[in-house]
Amino acid sequence: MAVISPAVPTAAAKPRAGSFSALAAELWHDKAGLFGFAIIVLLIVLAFIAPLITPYDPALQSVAARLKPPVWMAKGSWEHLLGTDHLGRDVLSRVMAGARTSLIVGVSVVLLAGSFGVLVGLFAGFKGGRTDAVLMRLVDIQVAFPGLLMILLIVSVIGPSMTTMIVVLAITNWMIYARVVRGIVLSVRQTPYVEAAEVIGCKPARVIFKHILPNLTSPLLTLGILEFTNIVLAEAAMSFLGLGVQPPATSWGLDVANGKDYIFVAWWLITFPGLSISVTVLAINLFANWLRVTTDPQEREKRFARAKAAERRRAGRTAPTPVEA
Amino acid sequence: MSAALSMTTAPATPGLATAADPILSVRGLSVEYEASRPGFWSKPTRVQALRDISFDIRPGETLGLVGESGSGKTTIGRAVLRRIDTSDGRILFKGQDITNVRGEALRKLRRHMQLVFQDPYASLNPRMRVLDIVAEPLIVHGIVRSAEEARDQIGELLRLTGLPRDAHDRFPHAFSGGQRQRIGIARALALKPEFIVADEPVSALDVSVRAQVVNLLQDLQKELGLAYLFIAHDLSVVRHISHRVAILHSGRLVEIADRDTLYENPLHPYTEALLSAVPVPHPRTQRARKRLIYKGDIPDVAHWPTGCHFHARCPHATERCSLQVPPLVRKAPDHQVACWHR
Repeated sequence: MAVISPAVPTAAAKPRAGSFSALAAELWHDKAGLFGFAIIVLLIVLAFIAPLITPYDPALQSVAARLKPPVWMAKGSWEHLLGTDHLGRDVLSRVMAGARTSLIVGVSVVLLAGSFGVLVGLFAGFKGGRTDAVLMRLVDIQVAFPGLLMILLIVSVIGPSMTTMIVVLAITNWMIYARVVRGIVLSVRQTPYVEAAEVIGCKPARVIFKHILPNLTSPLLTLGILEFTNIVLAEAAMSFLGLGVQPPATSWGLDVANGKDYIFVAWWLITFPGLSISVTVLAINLFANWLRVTTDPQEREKRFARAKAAERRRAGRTAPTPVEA
Repeated sequence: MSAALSMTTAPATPGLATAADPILSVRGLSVEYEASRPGFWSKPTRVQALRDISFDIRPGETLGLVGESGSGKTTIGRAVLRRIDTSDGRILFKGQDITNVRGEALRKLRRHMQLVFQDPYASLNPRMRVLDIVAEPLIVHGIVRSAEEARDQIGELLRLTGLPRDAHDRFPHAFSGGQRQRIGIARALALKPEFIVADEPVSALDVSVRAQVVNLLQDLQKELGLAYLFIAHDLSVVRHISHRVAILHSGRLVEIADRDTLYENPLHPYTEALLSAVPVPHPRTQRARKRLIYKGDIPDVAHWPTGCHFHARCPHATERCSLQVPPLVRKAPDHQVACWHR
């Protein structure tokens, strides 16, 4: 044990120097995080090159090939790997094409609503008093106002498009970030190290972004991921109502919504886009967990120590040399 | 002593307070806290935490500030650092009125007055390396551009405060309580201040480590000519480190005197009671001592009594004590007390 402990802080401090390869090595050691990262990269690549590699045009209808099951089922064929929907469109092609819309909408809404909500929460929590009271009442008002009604209002005035959808979803979903952030800021603001930062003469911006914001990393990552799923489904609801993605374009959410009616006759319509959403969320979760630990020095050293201990155990098993001495 | 740290304009023999101009003068300081706001538009109810506090601290001197919980010790420390607003009175730092200094001017003032915190576990940002923590004051005041640039300077500070040489790149959680307090002291010293408020700097530490940190503070004072406002409730520690001692009771100073005068010859009944509570490390002496215990209620912060705040518990109290506030009167060259009967 005595051999490990002095090595821990230096080794864990090394990647902080900003070397990219050190971070990559750290990710390589965390297999779950690596898996998540790989899936995310794969999805992004897929979203970009989908039009080039889809076996069929995702909007191409074929009445002759309606509701064909996936290839491994009794009536399935190699022509449509994941079957076809009620209009004879290839499900695989649609899942691939839908990735782009879902990812763009999900990520941009989370980022847009997140940054606005975080700013409002930081400001309200940091300023306190009347500023806080006014901002938080605004949040309450917006929370009380039915989101769908607001969406209907805005979209019917501006007209549906991808940009409109992103903006509208951001407008109806930023409040939760503001509330969560404000609560954390209120408690972190009382900690002596924030007072210390103020006493040594840090400007408010530095106090907020350097000393308070890092404490928000893990709750915000968790919240962002939960919200991502919500947004993908909200996008589906909007598209289903004809306010979001306009055919022939598609998205996972839209496919889930459309396939809902056929759930007993053709389970694959809802399953594959739904599965895509789950895998995306799982991948982001795994990667975010790695990211959370990496941004917290204390957690990071614990992980480092665990990895070292596991390494020693493995070494001890293969070659029984007296390691524990 | 390195060139980097010997820039303070300290008197040649700090410690023995001379008739030099005080570095900090507090005159008639009062502080009120907002307790609660009954409605959004209504005026908040106020609680008076400090009333009419006056004292001086000379360069290179330690003023010990003692009082029970809730008496306003920390409030005084925060008020002289301009962390909280005063409702009345003046604070003079090196002859300059800083009572209403705000914004950028206040930020500049931070270079001259610093704070050492009570809790060494909570006062260091767990996500920053020691180097970043100690270098931050230098960065925010534009003295260096990055922590790396200040590495040598910080190394000198770490050496001065008795931290291991490889402390730079470690995180606070790798250190013990005493070491963390040393990091906090190094941070406070980084800007080479002349005046430091030490807010119970040793009460969160083990007894064995306490003496080390107190001695470190004393050594630093000798080397750098610092003036301390040393807030504590441990009377033996205060006796060890202070040149003068002020006793605070319920938001008012009741006695200020030279350390030896105060401990040998206390005048205020409250001071007598406090001193009688200090244990003596000798069983026979301890048993022979008479412990003064005054019965009665400790005054409520929200509703101070009229007159002397101590009159409900004081054995000498007369009618006058419950009606008129006793002023802080000079009884000897360096001995002031606020009592009608002394």
